[in-house]
Amino acid sequence: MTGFGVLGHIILGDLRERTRRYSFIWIMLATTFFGYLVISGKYGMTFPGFLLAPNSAWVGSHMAIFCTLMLALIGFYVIRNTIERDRRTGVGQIIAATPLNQLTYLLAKFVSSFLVLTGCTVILVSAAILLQVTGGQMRSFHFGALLTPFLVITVPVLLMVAGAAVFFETARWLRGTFGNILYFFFIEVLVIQGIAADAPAIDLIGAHAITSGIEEAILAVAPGTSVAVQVGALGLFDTGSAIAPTPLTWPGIDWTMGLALPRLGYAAVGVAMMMPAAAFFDRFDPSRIKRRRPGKRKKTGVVPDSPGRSLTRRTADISLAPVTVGFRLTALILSELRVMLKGYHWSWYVVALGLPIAQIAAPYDIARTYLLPAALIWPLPLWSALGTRDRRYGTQSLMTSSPHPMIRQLSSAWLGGLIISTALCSGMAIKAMLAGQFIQAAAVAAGAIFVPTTALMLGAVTGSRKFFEVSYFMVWYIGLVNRHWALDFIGTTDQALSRGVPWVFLAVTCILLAVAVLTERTRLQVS
Amino acid sequence: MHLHMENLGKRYKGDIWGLRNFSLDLGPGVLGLVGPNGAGKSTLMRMLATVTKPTEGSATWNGTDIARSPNPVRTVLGYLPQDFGVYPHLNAVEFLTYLGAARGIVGRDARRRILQLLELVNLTETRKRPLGSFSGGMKQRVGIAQALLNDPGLLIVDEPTAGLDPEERVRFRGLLAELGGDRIVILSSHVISDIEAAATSIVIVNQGRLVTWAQPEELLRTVEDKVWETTVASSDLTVMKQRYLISNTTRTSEGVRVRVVDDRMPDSGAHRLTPTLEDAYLYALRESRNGVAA
Repeated sequence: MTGFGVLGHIILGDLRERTRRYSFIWIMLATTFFGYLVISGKYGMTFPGFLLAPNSAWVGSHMAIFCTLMLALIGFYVIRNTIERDRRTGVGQIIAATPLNQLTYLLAKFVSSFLVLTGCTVILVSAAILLQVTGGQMRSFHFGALLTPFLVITVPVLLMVAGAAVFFETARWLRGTFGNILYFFFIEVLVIQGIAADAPAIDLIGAHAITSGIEEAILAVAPGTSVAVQVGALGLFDTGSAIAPTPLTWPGIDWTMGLALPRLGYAAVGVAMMMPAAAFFDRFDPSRIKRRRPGKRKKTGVVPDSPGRSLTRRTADISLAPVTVGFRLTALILSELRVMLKGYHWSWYVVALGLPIAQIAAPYDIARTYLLPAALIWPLPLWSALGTRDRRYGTQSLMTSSPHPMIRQLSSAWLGGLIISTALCSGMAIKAMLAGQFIQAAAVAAGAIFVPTTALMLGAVTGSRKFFEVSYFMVWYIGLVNRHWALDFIGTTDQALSRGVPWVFLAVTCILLAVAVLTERTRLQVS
Repeated sequence: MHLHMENLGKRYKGDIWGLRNFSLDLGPGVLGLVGPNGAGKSTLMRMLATVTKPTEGSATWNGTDIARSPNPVRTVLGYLPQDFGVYPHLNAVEFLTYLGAARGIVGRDARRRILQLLELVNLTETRKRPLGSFSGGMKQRVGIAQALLNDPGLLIVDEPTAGLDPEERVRFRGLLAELGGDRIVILSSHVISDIEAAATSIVIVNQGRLVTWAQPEELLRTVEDKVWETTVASSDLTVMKQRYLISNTTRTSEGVRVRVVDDRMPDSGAHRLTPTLEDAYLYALRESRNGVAA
């Protein structure tokens, strides 16, 4: 078989495995829903005072921007599991024993990841066509004008995202929570800087190219106008202006080499990432993973077995102590905490212990604005394991066959997560109480309950830690770092406290807990 | 101590039955469960371990339906699944402590029991190493230890000797035989010698149905005077395989020595052999297939 034949078969096999999973249906449904939001005008870009004609250029460009944004942000987390699946299922070890070279293997993973993202894009292109057709714009329908923004803006980014997903899976230090966060930051910076700066090289989602094109069109019909762009979700940013907007027909972007070449750069970066990926890839060899920690000799390689005992020694020689069965929640919680806390670098524990102490020692505003948010992101990998650990490590049947699996394990996992969040925020809670800020202290308590509950619910429902990691990180970033009152679930701003945001989150927490219980109950009953 | 199964059945998606019309009545002793891949052994064990629910029929532990009220049996259950995972960052003591806590086994008794179990499965010296660094056989022994944590009245072990070295395999078979004295042990294995060494009764399962349930002696009687040995030319082996049930072949300088299980003498040069449980198992399977085909 030729090299291309091998590549084709691996891509096909990988695609079949991905597309036959239930999660794929959910991804497609979510993409369709997103397309609907943009089509229906519930999410998108508006130019106050002007109404753009829904011709192919505008509809295609508009959809392409948000398609690119969604797939660059969410798509990465969707496709980033293919090598991990081979590792977990043991297929990787079989592949490792074949003559297949790692670059071909990674290239196949790269192409299949790209094709999954392309599948989502096809849905959104179809949605854009539907918008034009149902909007009575058949006369202005021009397939080329509609498709070009997807080809020029979206496709290169998809290649970059696919390359990044493979690279982040091969580099060990990027595989976990750290990689998830790092990628989010990277994309976020590119998107924000790309919109703001007049630099096509960093205009990841093509928003600047399109908005400046429209700005030119607006200035052509209304010279001297101060053009504003609003990106809105679900009418949150509706200006409510009573003045009828001026109709505007935008002919689309004139794709010059200066605009198109940087897009090719994204594609090239995606493909080029296969080289470092191949260098980092351990080819499923566990010894290659462990070689990077030379100081930890105790953990390297497979430990030698104990020397065999003489067969003449009967098992009856070892008398087993009788056991008394009596459930104690505290014992289970302690064991749960041990499972949660084991396996991190010593520096992690130092920071975790230091945060509540620093909250007490630091000035009130510093503790509230910086140290409290830090305490609510530091244990992210611990929380994201809640509700997913048994599936991840294959211990479900051991746990399910224990008495009262739902109530005991769910409660111990939840309480374990709660103890960690409470411990890390305790400094701020004590400080607030000492300062007589009892509402702030209560808000901290509400936030400490909210985080592990959300983690447990999302873990139980999705079976994956990624969903919680990404969605919680977004909430944390917007609410606690950017201090947007609507998502400030722990009251780091006076605005959030005065509007009662933490109490809203506390109410949501109760619902989330109920969902977690129901999900686990259903899972145990269905099996 | 009584485990009863009445018309137990499990249907999977696509209207595929993993097990059907399975009835059995068990008291203390070791039940060996044998059958080809996909016969329904693991499905049965998962249902008895309350990991999965039967689609039809019922199983009762001391009169209590285990699907409706699983907790009474879970309290006395030790279960070693065919495939199971461990938490790689915990050591054996910590992992067993965690599973013990989930089963309500805590305190000093639990600690002592865990150390004794680790001694029993020969993991004392490596008990403080993270499980992620254990070999497959060592993880399997951790699995065996966790199944014995609560001194189970019902012990269900699915392919327990997979990955064990011959020495450990012999020890474990002996342990199972001892445990079967005053509790119900259900042991599934593809290795007939494991079953032979430990089981007090044997169930053969094929295509989701119970084929035979008998004591080892009874099974052996079914092939009495039906096991033959003869030597044939290599070129005749294919024809021989088509005509007879062959349980073993050995190459010799005179041709291929074959072990035949059949009612008829395969050729005039054949002589009778003492039957083994493997002969009886293969014979029962063939009879069951012929019965289904008929």
